[in-house]
Amino acid sequence: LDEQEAITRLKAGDIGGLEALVRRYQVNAVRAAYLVTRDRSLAEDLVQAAFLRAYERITQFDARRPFGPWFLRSVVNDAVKAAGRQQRQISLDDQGRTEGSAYEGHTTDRALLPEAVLERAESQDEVRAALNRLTPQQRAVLVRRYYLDQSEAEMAVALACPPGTVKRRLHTARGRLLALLRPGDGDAATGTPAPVADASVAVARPIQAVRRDD
Amino acid sequence: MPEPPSRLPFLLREEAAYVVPDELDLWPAIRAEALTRQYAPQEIPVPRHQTLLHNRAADPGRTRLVGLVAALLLAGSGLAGYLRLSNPLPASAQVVLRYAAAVRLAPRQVLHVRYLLTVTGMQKGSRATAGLRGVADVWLTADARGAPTVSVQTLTMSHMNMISRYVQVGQQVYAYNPEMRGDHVIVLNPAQRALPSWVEPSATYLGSSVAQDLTVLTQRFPQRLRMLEHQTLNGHAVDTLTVDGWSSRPGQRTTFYFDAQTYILRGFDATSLDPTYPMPSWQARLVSSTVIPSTAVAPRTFRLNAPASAQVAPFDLTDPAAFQAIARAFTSACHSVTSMKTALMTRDNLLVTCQATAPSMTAAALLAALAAPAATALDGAVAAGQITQAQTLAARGALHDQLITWIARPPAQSHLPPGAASTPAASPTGNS
Repeated sequence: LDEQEAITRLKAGDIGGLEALVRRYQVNAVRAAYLVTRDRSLAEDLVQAAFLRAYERITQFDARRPFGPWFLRSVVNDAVKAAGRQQRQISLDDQGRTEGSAYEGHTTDRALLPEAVLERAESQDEVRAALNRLTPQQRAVLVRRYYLDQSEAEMAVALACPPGTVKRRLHTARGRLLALLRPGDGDAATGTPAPVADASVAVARPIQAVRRDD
Repeated sequence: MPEPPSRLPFLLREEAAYVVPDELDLWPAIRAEALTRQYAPQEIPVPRHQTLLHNRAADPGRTRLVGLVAALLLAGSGLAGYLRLSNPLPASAQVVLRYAAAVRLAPRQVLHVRYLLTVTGMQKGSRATAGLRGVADVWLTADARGAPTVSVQTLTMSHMNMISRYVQVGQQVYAYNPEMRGDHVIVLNPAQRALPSWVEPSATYLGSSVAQDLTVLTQRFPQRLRMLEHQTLNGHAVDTLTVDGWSSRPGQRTTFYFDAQTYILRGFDATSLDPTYPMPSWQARLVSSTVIPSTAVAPRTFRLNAPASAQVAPFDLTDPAAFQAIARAFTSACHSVTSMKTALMTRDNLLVTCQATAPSMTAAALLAALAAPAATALDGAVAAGQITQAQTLAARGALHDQLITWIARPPAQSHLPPGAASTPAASPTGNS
């Protein structure tokens, strides 16, 4: 069942059309929402709600447009709002303490791991910890650009802002991510990138990953 | 100037894939919710007098009068409650459920019920398109709360004298239905939902279990349950409840008839709500209900009793749940950073991949490790007396033959479960 046929069936009230769309987009949608919210349960809830909303409002959807980008964009928008609501419920003090201890835990655990695990784990853990400390809006801009593969022009349309603003937000998000990957260097709060001359082995790879985009 | 290549997309994908697996399946939940919304009863308009009372209550000048009315209503409901207890007349669905849930089996007692069945609306191409009539012979034991612990359901249908037998122990279902399947295999299903769509789970025949399940369901989805008009079923006054989406079957509407005096389950009807999900319609009517001490139950009553010549059905390694269990066993045994799926996708030899992180691993030890999840299920079936030692040995042999191809040589893509064939580099928008 291709996408066009699925939408045609869905518009005719056939729930089989929805199944085809769910099967096609559910994993990427939940992953995108998770990258923004950092909460898998919340991400699944958001995607379920988005599919149900699409089901109920499919008559308003222009079938000539591709469903995927439209749907994933709405999921990311929902994720930003939900993450913002969630963030407001967390005490800043508690957040700082939790993240600090988690970071220390990673450092200790890494020393116990075999070399092969270390290489992979350091990239993932460092990036995960750094992503956790970005704002939902900053994560969303990275997810749109680097996970959903949207161009800056597409992002400008989606965010209803000039391309220059998108470029600046991307630069800020990447810069803050870079600074967070190098605790002690740079200014994480302002997003000023830090130099990488003395980067430790533990964080070199994720830093390079980010810097290649600058 | 083209943008330089970046590992950030890769890191984001890897991070997301680590937390959200390819096997994620939201469809059952979405489908259930979509159907519920589609078939949800219309909101009942608030009667005019209630609206007036509400508005008047907002007026401070009438507070005293409202208090008096409330007191009278409370007194009236207390009197109604008394009458309800002395002469059971259902006041609401909740009351019916509470009484039905209380009709539980005592410890060490066994319920034996027989229901006459009429099944219609079989799929085109079925051997019984005109429908089936038969008998469900159900034996149940229950825990102290009345929840079934072991149940046996034997369906004897008129068409071709078709006999099928299902044993359920907790969430594990054992099935032997040779006429229906056209073979002589025993199926070990991991979950109740794995029953054929036209067979009702055994718990459907136990009124107290049904009532408890419905009570839990209505706490989350009160709109799914409705109480119908008081009626008579085979000469018995019954309280009738209808529920949409129940027992892992979102597309099913089930109507239960509870005896208005004793609250035992006099029968139930099940029909499909969803035209895209054809399901036969069921009508079950109670013929007999007996409670006997467990000591009086004949030996092997709670056994599958398949013939010794029957074989356990081969394990479906493409089933996502089975694949995940084996993948976890691989990671655990090999302390591997490479997932089994990745190794299979890149056509790597599993033993070589494993030995990269577990150098002392042998082919036999890896085979045993990968087969362990299935072996546990087989051993459980033997311990429960549902299959013989010879049947489990044959099943283990067949499983080893399947797994050895994964260990010794890379499998073809078709051996991978759904979703495994997509590469990590596939476009996240699914357009590739």
